[in-house]
Amino acid sequence: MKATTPRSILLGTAALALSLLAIMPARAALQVDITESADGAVPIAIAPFDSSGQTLPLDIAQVASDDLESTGLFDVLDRDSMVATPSDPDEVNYQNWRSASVDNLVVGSAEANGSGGYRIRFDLLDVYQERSISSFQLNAGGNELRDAAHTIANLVYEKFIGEKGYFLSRIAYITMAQESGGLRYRLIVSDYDGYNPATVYSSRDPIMSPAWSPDGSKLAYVAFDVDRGRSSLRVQDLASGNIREISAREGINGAPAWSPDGDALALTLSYRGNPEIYRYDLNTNQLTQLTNNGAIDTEATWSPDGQHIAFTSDRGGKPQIYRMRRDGSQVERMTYDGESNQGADFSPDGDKLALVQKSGSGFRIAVQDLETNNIRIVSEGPLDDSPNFAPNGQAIIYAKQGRNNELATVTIDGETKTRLSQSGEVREPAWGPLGY
Amino acid sequence: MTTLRDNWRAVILAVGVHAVVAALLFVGVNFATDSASSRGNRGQEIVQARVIEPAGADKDEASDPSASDTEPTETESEPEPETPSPAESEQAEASAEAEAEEKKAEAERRAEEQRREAEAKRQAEAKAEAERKREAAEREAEAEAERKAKEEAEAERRAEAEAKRKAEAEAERKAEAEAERKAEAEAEREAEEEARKQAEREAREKAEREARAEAERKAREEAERQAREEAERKAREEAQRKAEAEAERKAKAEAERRAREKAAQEAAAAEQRARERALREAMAREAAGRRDAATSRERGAYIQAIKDRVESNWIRPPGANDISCKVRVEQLPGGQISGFELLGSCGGAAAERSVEQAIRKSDPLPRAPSDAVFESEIEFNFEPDK
Repeated sequence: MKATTPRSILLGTAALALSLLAIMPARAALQVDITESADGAVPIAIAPFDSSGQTLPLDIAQVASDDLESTGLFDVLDRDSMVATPSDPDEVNYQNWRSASVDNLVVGSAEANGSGGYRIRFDLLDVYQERSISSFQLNAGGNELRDAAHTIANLVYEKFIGEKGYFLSRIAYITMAQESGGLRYRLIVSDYDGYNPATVYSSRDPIMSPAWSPDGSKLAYVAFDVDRGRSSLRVQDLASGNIREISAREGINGAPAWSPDGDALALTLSYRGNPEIYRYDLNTNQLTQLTNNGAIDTEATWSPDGQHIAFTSDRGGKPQIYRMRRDGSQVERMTYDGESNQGADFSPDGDKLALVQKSGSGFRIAVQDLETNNIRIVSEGPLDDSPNFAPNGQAIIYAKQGRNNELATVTIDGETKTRLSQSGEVREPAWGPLGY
Repeated sequence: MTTLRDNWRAVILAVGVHAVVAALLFVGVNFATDSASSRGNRGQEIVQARVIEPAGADKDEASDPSASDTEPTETESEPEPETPSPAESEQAEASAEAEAEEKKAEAERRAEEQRREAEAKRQAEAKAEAERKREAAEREAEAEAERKAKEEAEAERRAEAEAKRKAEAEAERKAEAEAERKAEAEAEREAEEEARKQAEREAREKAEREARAEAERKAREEAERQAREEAERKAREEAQRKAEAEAERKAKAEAERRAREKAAQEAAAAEQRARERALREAMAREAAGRRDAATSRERGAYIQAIKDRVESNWIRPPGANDISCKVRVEQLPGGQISGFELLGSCGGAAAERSVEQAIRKSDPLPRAPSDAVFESEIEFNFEPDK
């Protein structure tokens, strides 16, 4: 973008004034106000990357296409529908792509860089302007082609969506599988799209409530010890696997939530009799009770600025979302819509709240605009649970329960849902940070 | 006595001298009787003196009226013929007065003449008588002289003494009488003179009075005349001034009337023109309004078509908030986009890209339904968040 100096602004203003004066008696320009936009997704095609005859271990174009497609924000042309597969801007016949209603085209190539990896370059072409609007080049290791594909998707995504793509982020979730010897619970961390799953913790006893540390290096979760009849709230470092036990008190030790700065956890404890929300300082191990109410107070979530904590409480008779300051003061109710609301999660920009709303048609994921308090239902139900914002705020991951337990993502406008197929029963997804 | 006798010649001479004197006196009376009065019976000397002086006084008196007569005529000639009746009556009065005086003078003159004639007659008779008496006296004297001459010697001496005594007494008496007469005459003359002076003074005073009166009258008349003239002049001037003022007023009024009429006509014309113009304008407006309405509808439809097209082609970046984009686009009459300019920032690269793509994708833009609504320049305002 051209740099704008005060002087040029002045000159521009003067020129504008002069031109206004000049054109005033003449006919003015037609004024057209654009207030609406198409609901459709961005039409795009990612042509197969040329690899100079080599067979790449990964179809980069396809992975990137799937990334974009999964967001619901892109209408990605099937490779089968492509009339040509150019890999260089000069090879592109734009008219063909326009005829196919493809507004945007990505062409690129990946070549071995001589050190076991690949040099990847690609162009984002505007079919109507018939030119490249972005040109990129990146290097990837031999086993990093998937991340390279996600990176390409991130770059394209940001160009069209205005937010960073989350295709390099990871998710955590709990699986429950019937194995030889009984049920097994696993805490899994995978790519956002379910690829590359890795078990972080496994137990025959239930595992619950995974929560990403803000930097994505740790997970807090709750592990049960059925034999001992108690639960343990812990923080596990993902790189080292080290586990730090935060609380294993009597009763409930649950629902951990990281403060945005990563220095504290909000959690639910009932060792004093009634489930209350506490703040646990990870540096000083100091525990501070934040709620004190005869009802159940649980499922804390921090506002992105760290000043507020929203939580679920049935102090009003049915579960609703309340908000308090980080020290527990100034409690106020945030939800009034539906029969009950629970399991809230603050959006990364703090403007929205994702929650589970119970209504006549069951439990569904809803997004509440905190400015207008408008609520939009974004999932079908009937037993949807554990909504969690994507790190860029454009999507929500949640768990569908019932006959086929699975994870799904939905855009915050509720338009596009993607199922992340997993084997067995999947619960309580948690979306980690962007990853780059 | 002896001297008288010795000087008989002297006695004779004395008698003779007396006679001569008496004769001379007589002649002198005759000489003066041309204008003597009828009163000369008492003494010839006194009559003679009395007759002359009144005549001179009369003559003086007569000359004055004539002098006073001439003056009024002079004043009479001065007034103009248009002189009004008061002046005429004044003049008539004056002329009547003069006439009366003239008649009076005439009567006096006639009376005087008669008197003179009568006097002349009497003098003639007296002269004849005196002649007769002289002749008788001469005869008596001759006889006497002869008788006397006889008695002379005796008588002469007595006579001479007597004569001398008588002459002396007579001279003395005569000198006394002469002195008395002279004193009387002088007194009379002085009285006459006084009377004359008085008359003269009176006449002068009268003349002066009359002159003064005349002067006053004249002055009055002059003043009146002047006043009249002044008044007339003033009246004339006033009249003229009034006439002029009136004329001016009339002219002014006329001018004003004309100006008013002209103004009224002009106003009427202007109003007429204004009405016509207003009518034309109204018609033009109506026509333009119809045109504009049509054009406006057309333009509205045209803008809507452009708007629909661009909006259908605009995929708003979901992550871009508060988009506010101004874009200037130039198009050809067929709607082909010939220029694209982003005016300022949009609120993010993604928004800018999307906006440009929306425009590009809309190329060509919907064709303008008519040239009237076509604009080569279009300004798009992307304001989805307002």
